[in-house]
Amino acid sequence: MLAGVQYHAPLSLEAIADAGFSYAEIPYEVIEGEGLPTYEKKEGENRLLRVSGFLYPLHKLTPEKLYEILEACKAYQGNYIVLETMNCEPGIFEEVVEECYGMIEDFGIPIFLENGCQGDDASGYVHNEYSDVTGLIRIANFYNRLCDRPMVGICYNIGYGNLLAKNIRSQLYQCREYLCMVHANDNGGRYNDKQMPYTFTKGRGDLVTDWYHIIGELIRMDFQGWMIFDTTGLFARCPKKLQTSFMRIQSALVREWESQYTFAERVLGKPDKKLILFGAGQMLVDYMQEFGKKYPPYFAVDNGQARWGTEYMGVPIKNPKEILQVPEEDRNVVICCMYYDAIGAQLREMGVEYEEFHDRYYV
Amino acid sequence: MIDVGVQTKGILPEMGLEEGVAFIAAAGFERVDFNLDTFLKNSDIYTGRINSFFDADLDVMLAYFGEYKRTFEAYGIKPSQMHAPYPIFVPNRPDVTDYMQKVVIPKSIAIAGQMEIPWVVMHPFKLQYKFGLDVERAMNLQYFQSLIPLLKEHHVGVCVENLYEGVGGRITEGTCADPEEAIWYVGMLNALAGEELFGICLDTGHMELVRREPSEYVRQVGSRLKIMHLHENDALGDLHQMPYTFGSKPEDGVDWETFRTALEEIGFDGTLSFETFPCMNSFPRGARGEVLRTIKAIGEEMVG
Repeated sequence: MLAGVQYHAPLSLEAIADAGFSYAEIPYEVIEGEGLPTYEKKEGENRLLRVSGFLYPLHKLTPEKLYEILEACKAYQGNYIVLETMNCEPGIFEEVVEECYGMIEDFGIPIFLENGCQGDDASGYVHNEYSDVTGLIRIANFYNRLCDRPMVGICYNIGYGNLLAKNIRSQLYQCREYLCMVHANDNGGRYNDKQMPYTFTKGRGDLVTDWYHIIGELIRMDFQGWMIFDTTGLFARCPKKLQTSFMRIQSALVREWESQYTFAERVLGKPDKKLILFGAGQMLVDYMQEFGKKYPPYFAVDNGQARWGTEYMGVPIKNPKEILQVPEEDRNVVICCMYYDAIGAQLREMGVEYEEFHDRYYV
Repeated sequence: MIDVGVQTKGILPEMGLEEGVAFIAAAGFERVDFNLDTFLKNSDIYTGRINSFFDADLDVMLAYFGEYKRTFEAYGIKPSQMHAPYPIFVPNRPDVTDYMQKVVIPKSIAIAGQMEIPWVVMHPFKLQYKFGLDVERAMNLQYFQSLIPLLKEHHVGVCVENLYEGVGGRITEGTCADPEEAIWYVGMLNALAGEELFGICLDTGHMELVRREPSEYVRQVGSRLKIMHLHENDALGDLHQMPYTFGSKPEDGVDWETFRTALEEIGFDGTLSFETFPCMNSFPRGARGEVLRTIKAIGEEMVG
């Protein structure tokens, strides 16, 4: 996936770069206003912070404005234009694109239509023409037929989906063939907070937004498009000094998600090693359903003595001490139980290296 | 000088002692709020499912937590406060109440003393909605007064915390939510003790839930404020999340800038301790280290 962050004052481009991001998405209104702020590279810094693309509200779009944005996008070497549909009346996109599809094709810069809704924090949010992916697919499909190659895709904004109580995982699945971008942000379902993913919870850390299944769905469809954090609410609230710290959490999220993308090949795809799963409870069931056929375990172990000597789906379940009977160079131990910390400590005590299987992405 | 700390809940004992303490130290913390309450969870106490952890002989428990003390010291960490198991009073369960008051709390004080933890947070009894304010105050006063000899013996102080309650399906003010009440408790108890053995723990998240500004509370309680539980929420649920992660405008949520000013005004020189353990559950495991480092950075920014 191509990861970046949406720029919006007071967020600094330096904070985006310091956290390790290579792309910044720019609202075109910034260019129209005072222009893109200068990004000051630190001494010895090799990394480039590039413009991923431009963002513009669809309700203000005209053919002339679209031409202007396409020109700017080309000049800044941007990769796309995303059109926001929040509080947008139907028909504008159709009018503009019908007139401009030849121009879009000539520039070779794709347009991503974002899901949106109608309303505000005070009055609440309701659906508009662009809230359901079925509607977005219909529009994208129609205009892609006008062009020789597909030029209209979908940007799915997770925060907006949340405001309308969508099953976001299903929305992503439905538009998978058109999905080019995800705008990642979080809220509690009431206000358009545009906060960092994973921050809205109930009780003691139970997520309000279905992040694990959302990422799991992206993994399943092997989504390789843009993942842009539009967490402007967070940066409107936090002091400037903390921008880089919060940005680093978002960077850590990208690394976590990317590691899940490669989990199967990186962790399970070791045919020269014996796969041993630690845990023979529900997560073993989940593992077998998701990966059991392709990557069958050699055996599983469990701390529950009652399970020793039994089998599940042909997998023998043994005492954890049995791990040590397999030579270190031949074994591939994966924790398959929610008590990662405790089992990790137990394995370290035994001198056993391990990886972790997280069924929350798959089940 | 103000320090920055974080609670051990969500990290210890789950990660293993050495690994967990190293994890906290790697994020830059030199202070922790030691969550003794993780060894006897409040959800279990409310339902009367009391485990046997506090049945152990005190000597055995002191030896066990001596290992914690040594490990903290090895990583340059000093616990600035402890959270005792709670509730101390369970309505309709005199057996559980008796066990909490006569076994769990005295042992908690002894453990704090051995670990050289100066302040222990104890939730006052929550009785005002059932029996009235006078009964609640009288019973709290009586119980906390009974602890004074033990506190003196172990050189430990107790902090009462501003609490909320759930009444009629919504959150309402609880004991010490009003700073005047917290001041009253601390004043009465310290007068009875003849020394400063009681102080106030300000929970910023609980303040938000009952529509109060933590900075106002700080100004009112002044030097009685000894320790803190810093966190933020959506003003609807006690979510214990990081500051700044709710709302979308500078004026949303807790006004941390004014809070910092208020702390300066009263000359607070304790620990800014974050009670943000759900972050350890809600973020993916791979991002937890960065989350903890950010919490430290938030504290440092508040210290200025």
